[in-house]
Amino acid sequence: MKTYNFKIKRFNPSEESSPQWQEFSVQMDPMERLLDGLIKIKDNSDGTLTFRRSCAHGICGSCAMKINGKNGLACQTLIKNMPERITIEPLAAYPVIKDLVVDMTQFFMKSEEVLPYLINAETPPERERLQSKDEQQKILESITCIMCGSCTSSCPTYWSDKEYLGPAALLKAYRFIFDSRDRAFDERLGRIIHAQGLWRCHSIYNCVEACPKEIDITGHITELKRLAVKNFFKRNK
Amino acid sequence: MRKEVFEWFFLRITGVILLAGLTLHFYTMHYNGPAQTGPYWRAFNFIFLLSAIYHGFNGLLGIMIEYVHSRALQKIFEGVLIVTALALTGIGIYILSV
Amino acid sequence: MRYRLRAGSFAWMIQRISGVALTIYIFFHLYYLSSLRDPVKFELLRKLLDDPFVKFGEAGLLLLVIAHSFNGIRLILLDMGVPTRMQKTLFFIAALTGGIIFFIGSWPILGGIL
Repeated sequence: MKTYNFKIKRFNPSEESSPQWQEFSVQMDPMERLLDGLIKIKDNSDGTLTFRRSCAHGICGSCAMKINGKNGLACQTLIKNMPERITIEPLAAYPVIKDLVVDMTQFFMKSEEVLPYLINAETPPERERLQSKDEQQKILESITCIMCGSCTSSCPTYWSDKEYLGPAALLKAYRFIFDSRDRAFDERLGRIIHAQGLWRCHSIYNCVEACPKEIDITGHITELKRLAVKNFFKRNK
Repeated sequence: MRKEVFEWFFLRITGVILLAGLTLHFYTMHYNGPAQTGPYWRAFNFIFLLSAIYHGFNGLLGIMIEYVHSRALQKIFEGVLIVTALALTGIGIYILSV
Repeated sequence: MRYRLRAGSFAWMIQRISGVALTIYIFFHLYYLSSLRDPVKFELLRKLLDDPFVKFGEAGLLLLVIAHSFNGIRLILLDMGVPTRMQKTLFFIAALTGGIIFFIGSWPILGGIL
C-alpha cells in the first residue's frame, strides 16, 4: 500500500460561486485504478464528493475527467502509472453540474446533428445487411468510440467556439459516411462541411492524445476533409 | 456546393504559392536579384499580391468566427475584413503599376 | 481553460499568432511601399531601415515567416495523408530546419550590428 494525494476540483454551482480545490490522502494498492481511489474517498472521507461511473471497465465512458491535465477515464488509469500527487478536474468546456459531473447535453446534441444512425430505405434482407471484411475494416476504428467526451473537451477550437461540431461528432459522421450499408452520403456530407464543421479542425491532435480508446480522430477528420474536397471538384466538373 | 470546402482548399493552394513567391520575393529584394520588369514579373507580382491578401484575410475570417459568436457581429467583422482586403488589393495594384 | 501544451497545440498557437501578425504586416508593408513615389519619404524610409531596431524587426519578421511556412508545410503534408503518428516528428523536423534557415537567413540582416 502506498499513500497518494488526490487534489480534486470541487464545485457546487447551486451553492457556491467558484470552484475550490480539496485534497485527500488515500491508501492505494498498486493494482488499483484511479476510480478505486475516488470510490474510497466517497466511502471513507467525504460522501458528498460527486462523480459519474457505471461500468468501471472502460466501456461506458461515464468516468471521463481531466487527470493531471489530460483527459481520460478514471477506470482505465492504473494507479501504479501515476505520480504520488494526482490532480483531478471535471472535463473542460462542459458546464459543471457538481464536482466531477458535467452537463453533456451540448455534446450529445452535436452527435444528433450528424444523424448518428443508419439511413437506408432499401428493403432489408432476411438476415443482417452484410459487409465485406474490408468494408468493416474501414469503419472499425471509428466504431470503437464510447462517447465519453474526452476529445471534444480537449479541443482548443471547441473551448472558444461552442458551435463547432467537435471531434466526437465528426468521428461519428465518418463512421456513417464510410459505412457501406448507409445511403445518406449527400445529406451527411452537407451536415459537416459548413463553417462550423470540418474546417474548424486545425489538426491540433489534442483529441488523439485524449482519446482513451486510442482512436486517431484527427486522421479520420482529415480523411473527411479530403473526401469533401474531392467531392467538391467532382460535382463542379 | 458549400463555399467553405473551396476556401479551405484554396487556403492551402495560396499557401504553397506564397511560399514559392516569398522565396523569390525575398531573393530579388534583398540579394540584388533581377530587376522586376516585363509581363512575367508583372503577372508574378499580381498573383503574389492576391495570394497574400486572400491567405491572410481568409485566415483572419476563420479565426474571427471562432471568437465572435453573435451572428450580427460576425457579419459586421466579415464586412470590415472584406473591405480592408479590397482596399489593400487596391493599394497593392497601385504600387505594382508604378 | 488550462490543458497540457503539446507539440500539436503549440504548433497551432504559433501558426495562429504568426498568421495574424503577418497579415497585419501586409498592411504596413503595402503602406510604406505606396510612398515610393515621393523621394523625400523614400529617403526617410531608406534611412529607417538602417536603424538597429528595425533590423531586429526584420529578423523577427523572417522568424514569423519561417515558422508559419514550415508549420504550414507540416499541416499540408498531414492533410495529404501523412499518418498521425508522424505529426510530432514532422513538428521537430520543421522546427529544426526552420531554425537553421532562420540562422542563415538572418545573418545578412543582423551581421552588421551583432
